[in-house]
Amino acid sequence: MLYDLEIPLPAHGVGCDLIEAALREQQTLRTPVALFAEEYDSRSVRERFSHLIPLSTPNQGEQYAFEVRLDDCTGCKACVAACHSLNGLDEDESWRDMGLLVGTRKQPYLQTVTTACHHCLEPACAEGCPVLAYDKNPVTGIVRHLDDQCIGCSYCILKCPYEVPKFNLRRGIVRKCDMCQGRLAEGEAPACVQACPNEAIKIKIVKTDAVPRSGSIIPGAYDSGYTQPTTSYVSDKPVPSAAKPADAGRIALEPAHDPLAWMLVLTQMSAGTFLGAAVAMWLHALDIHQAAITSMVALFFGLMGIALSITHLGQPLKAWRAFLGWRKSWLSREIIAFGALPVGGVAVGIAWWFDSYAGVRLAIAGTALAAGMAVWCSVMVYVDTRRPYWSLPMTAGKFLGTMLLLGACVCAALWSWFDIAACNWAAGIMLAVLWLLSVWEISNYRRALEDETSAWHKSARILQKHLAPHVEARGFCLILTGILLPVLIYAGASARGMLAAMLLITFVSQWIERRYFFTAAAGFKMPGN
Amino acid sequence: MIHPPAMTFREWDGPHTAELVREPAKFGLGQVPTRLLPDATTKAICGFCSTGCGLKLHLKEGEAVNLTPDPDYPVNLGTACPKGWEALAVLDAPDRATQPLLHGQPVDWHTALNFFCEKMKSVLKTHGRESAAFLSTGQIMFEEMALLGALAKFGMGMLHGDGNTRQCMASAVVAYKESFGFDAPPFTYADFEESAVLVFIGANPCIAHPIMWQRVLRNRHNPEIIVVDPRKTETAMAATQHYAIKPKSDLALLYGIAHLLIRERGINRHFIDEFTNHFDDFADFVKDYSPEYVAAETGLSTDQLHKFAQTIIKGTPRVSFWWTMGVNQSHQAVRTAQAIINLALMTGNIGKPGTGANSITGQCNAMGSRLFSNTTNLLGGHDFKNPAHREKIAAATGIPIERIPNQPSLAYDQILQAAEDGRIKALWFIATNPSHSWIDQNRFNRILDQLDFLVVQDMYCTTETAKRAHLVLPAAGWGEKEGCFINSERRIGYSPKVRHAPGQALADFHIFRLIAHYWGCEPLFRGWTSPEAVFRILQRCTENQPCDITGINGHEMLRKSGGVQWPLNREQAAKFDAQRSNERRLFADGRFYTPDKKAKFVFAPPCQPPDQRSEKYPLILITGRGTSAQWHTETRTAKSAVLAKLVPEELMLDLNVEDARKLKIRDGMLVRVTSPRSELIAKASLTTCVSPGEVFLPMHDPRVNQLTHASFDPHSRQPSYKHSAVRVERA
Repeated sequence: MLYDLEIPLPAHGVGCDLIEAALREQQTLRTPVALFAEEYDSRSVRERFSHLIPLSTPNQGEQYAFEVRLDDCTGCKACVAACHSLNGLDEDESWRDMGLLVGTRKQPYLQTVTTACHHCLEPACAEGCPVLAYDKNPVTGIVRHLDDQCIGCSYCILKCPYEVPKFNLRRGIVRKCDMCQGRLAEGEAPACVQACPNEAIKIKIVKTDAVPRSGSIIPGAYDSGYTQPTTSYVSDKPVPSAAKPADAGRIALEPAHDPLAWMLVLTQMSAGTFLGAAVAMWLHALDIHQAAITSMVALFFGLMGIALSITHLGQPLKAWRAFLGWRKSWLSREIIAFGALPVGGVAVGIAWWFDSYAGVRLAIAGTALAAGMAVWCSVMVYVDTRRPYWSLPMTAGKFLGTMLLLGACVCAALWSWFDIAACNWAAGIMLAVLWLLSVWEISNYRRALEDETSAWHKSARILQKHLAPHVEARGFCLILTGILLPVLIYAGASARGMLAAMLLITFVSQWIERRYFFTAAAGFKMPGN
Repeated sequence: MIHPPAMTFREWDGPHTAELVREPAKFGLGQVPTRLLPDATTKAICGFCSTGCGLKLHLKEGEAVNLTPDPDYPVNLGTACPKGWEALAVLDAPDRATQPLLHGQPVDWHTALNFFCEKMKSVLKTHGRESAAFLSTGQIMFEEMALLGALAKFGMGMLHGDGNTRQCMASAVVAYKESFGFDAPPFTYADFEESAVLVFIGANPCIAHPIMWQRVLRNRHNPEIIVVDPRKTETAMAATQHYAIKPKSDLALLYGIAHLLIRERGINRHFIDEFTNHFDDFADFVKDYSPEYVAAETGLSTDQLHKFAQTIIKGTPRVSFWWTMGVNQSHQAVRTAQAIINLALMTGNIGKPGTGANSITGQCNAMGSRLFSNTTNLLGGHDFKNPAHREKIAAATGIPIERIPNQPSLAYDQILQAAEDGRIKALWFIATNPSHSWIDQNRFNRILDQLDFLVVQDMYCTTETAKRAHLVLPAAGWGEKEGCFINSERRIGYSPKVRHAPGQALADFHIFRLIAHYWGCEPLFRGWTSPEAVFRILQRCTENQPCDITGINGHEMLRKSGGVQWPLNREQAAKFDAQRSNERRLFADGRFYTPDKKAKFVFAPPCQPPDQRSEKYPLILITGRGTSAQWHTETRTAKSAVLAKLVPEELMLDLNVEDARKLKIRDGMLVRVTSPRSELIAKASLTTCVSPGEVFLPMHDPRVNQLTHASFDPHSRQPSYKHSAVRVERA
C-alpha cells in the first residue's frame, strides 16, 4: 500500500536507473501526519499502571519505596533496558541493574534480582557529598541527585554500599535513579515499573519507622543499619539462607584514583615535614632560616598534592562550594583543613620577613597542627565508607605512618645540606618508622590472606591475584631504603646523595601502596552476575 | 563538558539537569525525554523472536527516535524484553554494511549485481541447476522470503534453497504435518492464561520467550507448571514441578507418561475414537514403557512419573503442552514432538481453551518461512511434487508452470554435503550467520572456503560468514523496510519503514528485484513490485489451504487490527472483529487437515544419541540460550551497549559441583573444554543447576559450535545441538 506510491520503481529500465530509484525509495520515509495520526493508545500510561503506584503522596513519617516481588522476577531484564530508553540515558547507561542469587550444592537455587537506588532513610551518598548535591525530598523521600551541583568527586560512589551512583565520564558528573519522580508526580509509574512484564516492581508508601535498621535487604547486600535502604524484596518462597550472589567469589580490581593517590602521599609528606620542622624548632635544632626553608619545602609538596587532587574532579570550576557539606562530610572537612596549608605558609613567610624566631615557630607549629588534622580528615574520609580495607586502624596506620615516614625522609634529606645533627635524628626516626610500618603491613596482609573470615580477606586476595608485582616492588624498595642505602652511608658513601635517593625510593614505595589502597579496596554491592 | 558554576550555593537546575528533563508526550505515551519527544507514532512488530511483540515507534519527522511496547497489541500487552527495547539502537552500529564489497573492496551496486549474475550464471551453466543454492532466514519479511524463493527457483533456475529455520523448527513442521495433516501449531497465546496445567518440555521461556512467560504469570487458575529439562533453568525454578531427566531421554519419558495415562484411565476415549487414527497401535506400543523401565531410562523415580501423569489427568481438559529447542534440536526430534502431540490427542487436550500440543518457534518470521520461503514447500504450504499444486501456484503468481520445479529442495545439511562433495559450487546466504551458528562449525567453514562463489547479504559486514564471502550485499534491516512477520501463534503482523538505511544499504526486497533485473528475468516478476503487491499474490497462493488468508484486506487491515492469525478466508473475514477475533485456536471442531480429517498417532522406539560419553570425553555438553539480552549469533544484540551490560563478560561453563570436585576445578577457574573436533577455554561456574556428568555452554559465543557434534533428525534434518561428548580440565 505504502510502498510504491511516491517513488515507483520503473518496471523496466536501464539497470543504473533502477538502482538509483531503489536507493531513493530506500531513503524516503512516509510523512507521518496523514498516516499515523490515529495511533493513540487506547489507555494512557497513567491508567495502565495506577495499581502499581500509590494513589496519594506519603504522609508525615512515610515515604515512597520500591517493592520487588522476587517470585515474579524471572530474569528478562526489561527494566534495565526501559530505564535506559524511557529516561533518555547515555548509550550504556541505566539506573537499574540485574544480579543473580545462586544456591548451594544441596539446594539448587536461581533468583534474578533487579536493583536500583534504594532511596535510603540515611543516604550515605548525601552525607558524604561535599557540595550538597543530594537532596532527600522531605515529602516523597526520593533521594535526588542535583546534576548541576555535582563536582564529579566520586565520593558518593565510595560511600554508597549498593553501587548506585555512577560516574558519567562524558559529563564529568555522577548520575543516578530519581525514582522517575516527575512521572510519579503526574500519577505515572516509573520506567522500570512500566516495563516489567510480570509487574514485579511496585512503588509503595512505607512507614519510615518500619524500615529495617538491621539485617540486609537481600543476601549479599550490606547491613541495612548503615543507610536504612527502603527497597523491600518479597517472596512467597523464602530465599534460602545459604543463597549467595553469583559474583560473590569474584576477585576484581577496583578503580584506581591516581590523582587521589598522589594527593594523599604528597599532603601527608607535607604534614610530616611541617611536623618535623615544628619539633626541631621547639628543640632549637634549627635556626630560623633552616626552619623557614623546611616549611617552604613542605608547603610546596602540600600545594602540589592539592593541585593534583583537583584534576580528579569532573567539574573543577564548581569545587569552590566544597565547604558546604562540612556538617556531615569528612571530604568537606578535609578540603577545609587543607585550606589551612597556604594560610600557614603565608604566616611563616611573614614571620620570617620580620625575622621573628618565635613567630616562625608558632606559625610552623600551627600549620603542622592544621596539616595533621587534615591528614586525620583524610583518614576519616575513607573510614567513613566502611570498606573493610579502609578500617580505622588500617587507614590511620597507613596515613599517619606515611606522614611520619616521608616527613622524616624529607627532613633528613634536606637537613643533610644544612650539616646539622637533627639530620641524624630524622634519619633514625625514618628508619624506625619504615621498619615498624613495613612489618605491620606485611603481617596484616599475611593474616588477612590466610584467614578467610578476616574482614579484608577479599582485598588480600585481590592483592595476591592482581597486584603481586606491586607488593614485590615495595619489598624491593624496603631492601634498598631499609638496608642497602643505610649500610652504604655507614660505609662512607655521600649521605646527601643517599638520603635523597632514600626519599625518592620511599616516596615511590608509598605511592605504590596508595595506589593499591584504592584498587584493592573491595567495596560493597548488590548481587551481580 | 565542564560547566562554569552559577554564583549561588546550590544549583538546582542547569544544563545537566535539562538533559534529563521529561515531558508529557501525546499519543497516550506519558512522559518521555524532552529531546526524544515524538511528533507521531506508529506500530511495528519486533524483529527478534517469534513471540512477535508489538512495538510503538516514536517518530520525529517520520524517523523513529525511540520506542515503547504497544499496550494495545494482543501479544505483549504493553511489555517487551530488552531486545525489543533496544531494537532501534542496534541499527546505528558502526559496522553496518553500507556498500557492496567484492573480495573485500567496496564497489557500486551496478558492478556488484553484474558480478553476482555473471558468476551465478556461469556456475549454473557449467555445473547444472543443482550447483548453486540459497540459504535464507527467518529474520526477513515473508514478502521478501517469497520473492527470494520465487526469484531463485522460478527466475534463476536454482533447485535448492533452505533457511536457518532448519536450525530451529524443522522438527515441529514435520511432526505437525504427519500428525495433523498440515504444519499447523494449534494454539493462541491466551492458552497460557487458560490452562490448569502447563507442561514445558525442552523450553526455557523465562529467558528465551520472556513475554510468553508473562502470559503464563497472568494465568489466574493457579496452574501446575511442569518443566522437563535436564537443567534447573530459570523456568524450572519458577515451575511447580521440575523433572531433570537425563539428556535426550525425553522420548522414553513421554511414552512412559502415555503408558500411565492409559493404565490409570486418564484418556479421552470419545475424542480418540471420533477424531484420531492408530491409537490402538500406539497403546500397544507403549505397553513396554512401564514406570520402572522409564525411570531407569530417564533417571526419574517411579513416584515422579506417577505424579506427572496424575497432574495431567487432574488438569484435563485444560492441559497445554509446549516445546522448543530442547525437543526440536534432537536426533529423534520429530518423534519426540509427536509423542507430545500424542499426549494431547489421547487426553483430548486440543482445540479447547488452555490446551494444545504447541511448538513455540524461534525467529520472528520462522512461521512465515514455513509457508512462504518456497524451499521445502511450494509457496503457501504446497507440495512441489503435486502437479495440481504447481498449477495452482502458477496461476496465483503468474509464473509459467514449467518454471516451477517438481521436486523440493535438499535440506540444509544435504546442501552442505553436496558442497563438500563438489556438487554445489555457489552459495548465497541471506540474513543469517551460520559460520557461527552451524553445528560442527569448523567443518562448515572448511566447506565455505572451498566454494567457487560465496555471497552474503546482511545488515553487517562483520559477521563471521560475511568475512568469508566473495561478495557482500549490504542490506537494510528491520525498521528500514516494510513487510510482515508471522509469530508462533500464527499471527501475521506488519512492520513499517521508519529509519534511513545507512549508506547504500537496500531492503532485501529491492536487492531481489534488482537481481531479477540484472538476471534478465524481470518480466516474470512484473506483478511483484512492492511488499504489499507480493502480499496479495501470497494471499492467492493460500486459497483453500489450512493457512488461507484470502480474507485479510492487505497490510492496512493488519496494521489496524492488532495482527491477524491464520486462517482468515473470505468467509471468516466477513465475521471478523478485531476485538473479539484476536485470540483464535485451531481444531475446535476436532477436524484435522489429513485426508480423512483425523489426527494420527505417530511413534517409533527411541534410539541412543549418536555421540555417547566415553572415557576420553566423559561429559555431555548441552548448549542453549544464555540470557534474554542475547539473540543467536549476536550479530545485532552485541551492538547495544545496554544489552552488553546484561550479558556475562566471559564465556561461562556451567559445571556441576561434584564433577568440579573430581576435576579439582574451583569456581571461576579457567577450564579447557575439548571435543574431538575442537577445544575452547571458558570460566567454570560451579552449580547444581546442571546434573553431574553434564555441562552447559551458551550458544552465543562463536567458539561453542566448534565443539558440537553434527547429527541430525532423520525426518526433519534438524541439527541436534544439545548432545555432544566433551572433556573438561583445568586450563
